[in-house]
Amino acid sequence: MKPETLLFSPADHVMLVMDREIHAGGMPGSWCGFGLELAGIPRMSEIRQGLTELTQAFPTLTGRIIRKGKRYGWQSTDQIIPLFHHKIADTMEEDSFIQHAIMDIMNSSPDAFAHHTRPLVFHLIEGRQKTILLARWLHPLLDAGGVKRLFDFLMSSKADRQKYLQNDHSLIFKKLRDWPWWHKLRLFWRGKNHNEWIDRLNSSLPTPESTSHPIPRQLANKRLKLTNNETRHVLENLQRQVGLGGQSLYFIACLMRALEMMGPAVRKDAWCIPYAFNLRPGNAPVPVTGNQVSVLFAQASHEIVKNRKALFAHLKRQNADTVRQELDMAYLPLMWLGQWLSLEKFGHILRHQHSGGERSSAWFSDIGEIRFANAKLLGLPITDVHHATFVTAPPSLAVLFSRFNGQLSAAVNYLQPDLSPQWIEGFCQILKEELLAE
Amino acid sequence: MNDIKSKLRDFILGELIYCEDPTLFGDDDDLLEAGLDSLGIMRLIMFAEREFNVTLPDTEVVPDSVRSFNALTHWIESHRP
Repeated sequence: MKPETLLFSPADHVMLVMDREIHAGGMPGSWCGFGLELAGIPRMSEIRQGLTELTQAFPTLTGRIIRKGKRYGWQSTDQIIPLFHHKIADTMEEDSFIQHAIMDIMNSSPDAFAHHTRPLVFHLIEGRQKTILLARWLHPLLDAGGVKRLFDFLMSSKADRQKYLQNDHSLIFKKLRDWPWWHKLRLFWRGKNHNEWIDRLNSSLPTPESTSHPIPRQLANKRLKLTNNETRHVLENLQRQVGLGGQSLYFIACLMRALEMMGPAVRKDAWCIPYAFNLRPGNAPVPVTGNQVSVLFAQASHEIVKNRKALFAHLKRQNADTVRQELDMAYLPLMWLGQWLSLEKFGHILRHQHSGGERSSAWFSDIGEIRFANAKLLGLPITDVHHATFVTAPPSLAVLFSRFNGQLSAAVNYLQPDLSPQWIEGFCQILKEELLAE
Repeated sequence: MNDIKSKLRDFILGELIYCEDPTLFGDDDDLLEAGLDSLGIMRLIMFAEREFNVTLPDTEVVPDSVRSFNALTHWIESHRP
């Protein structure tokens, strides 16, 4: 039977461009990790059975990247999603073993092209009392919301799985198809003008721009996890400072202030943080595969960042103006057009300002509150979640916020040697103080 | 009032939250529980300001204002000229 081909959506293509950019910085590519911590040890055979069913439901998950003219896509294969097993040795401390295992998996480096043939792999990291089931995936394949839906699929009964099988189509293609040509053109110009508006201020960076040379780099990860009480306090603060609609902006503001207090390695005009705009309606079980996001920017000058209240007001106003002008949608036609450029040229446009500097001061994502379809996977309670992601160098720093079981976490991903563990330690301490500040 | 609610239903159930059968989603059902998130609320406020020609103060963006279609409609109505 002839293998099926599914072309990348414009958002998937942007992630492929970032994969190339991350490779160019001396790293294995645009790999991400999402792990479930389980209170016990599941049977390998049961996970394998689930992965076989997952592969049958979503053949793209074992696809390989192919090129069709200027475009790229997934070509189905007859593989099953692989599963690897890592077991703690008698002499090891459990938490340290788990953290090292996750980072070793993230940093393992398939050769430059082989990684395009196995975009999703599961790892079972077995400790003494707990286990992590880690999905490591190449970002063009899925976004974090999609991986959450893969886990939902695995923990659902056969009858409940039907809802994940309906309409697994790109919402970005749907938007682009639904708009008349003149609307797409208008949005394209708005998006282009917005980029130029962002570029009127040059972005500061936490690490020198010289880090763009391809030296060997390792991804490292520190987790800032708040208690239930601290999380409640942050949510109350957030409500008071930015209102219910400003959760992501609150985190971005705290991130900017922590960067400011650590002092930029490259000091220019402003901090600029891109953030994802999710096209999936809340709680929708589909789409599962593909990236369903567009991008927005939060930008604030150093002067504004120094004043906490002024920063909240500024970011709120900026976000309101962005949504009012439909700039949240304006990047879709821009991303669509970028597919016809070379990966290298598009990468340059996406990352660099007119002045030539890096546009993003840090990468950011607000994964939000994670509520799985079931409290258990294969009969074992899910006790925690873990996130990791590669990032370009510079900025060499990506912070992912999420809430699970009433606790707020920030997964602080950074590249060594661009940023040191001591720098990250200080950064996390300030970030926590900012999150909790009145 | 019904016109506001109907437009809110179309926008929210079409763009912001998922409901297998939108006709079963009641006017008092919890939108936050159904998945209306932070950036979704910002989009909703911008939509309401544009569509109904109102200004909705930041200080009133609290769970009780946006929790249901009835609450939203009441909130927007209270700011109409």
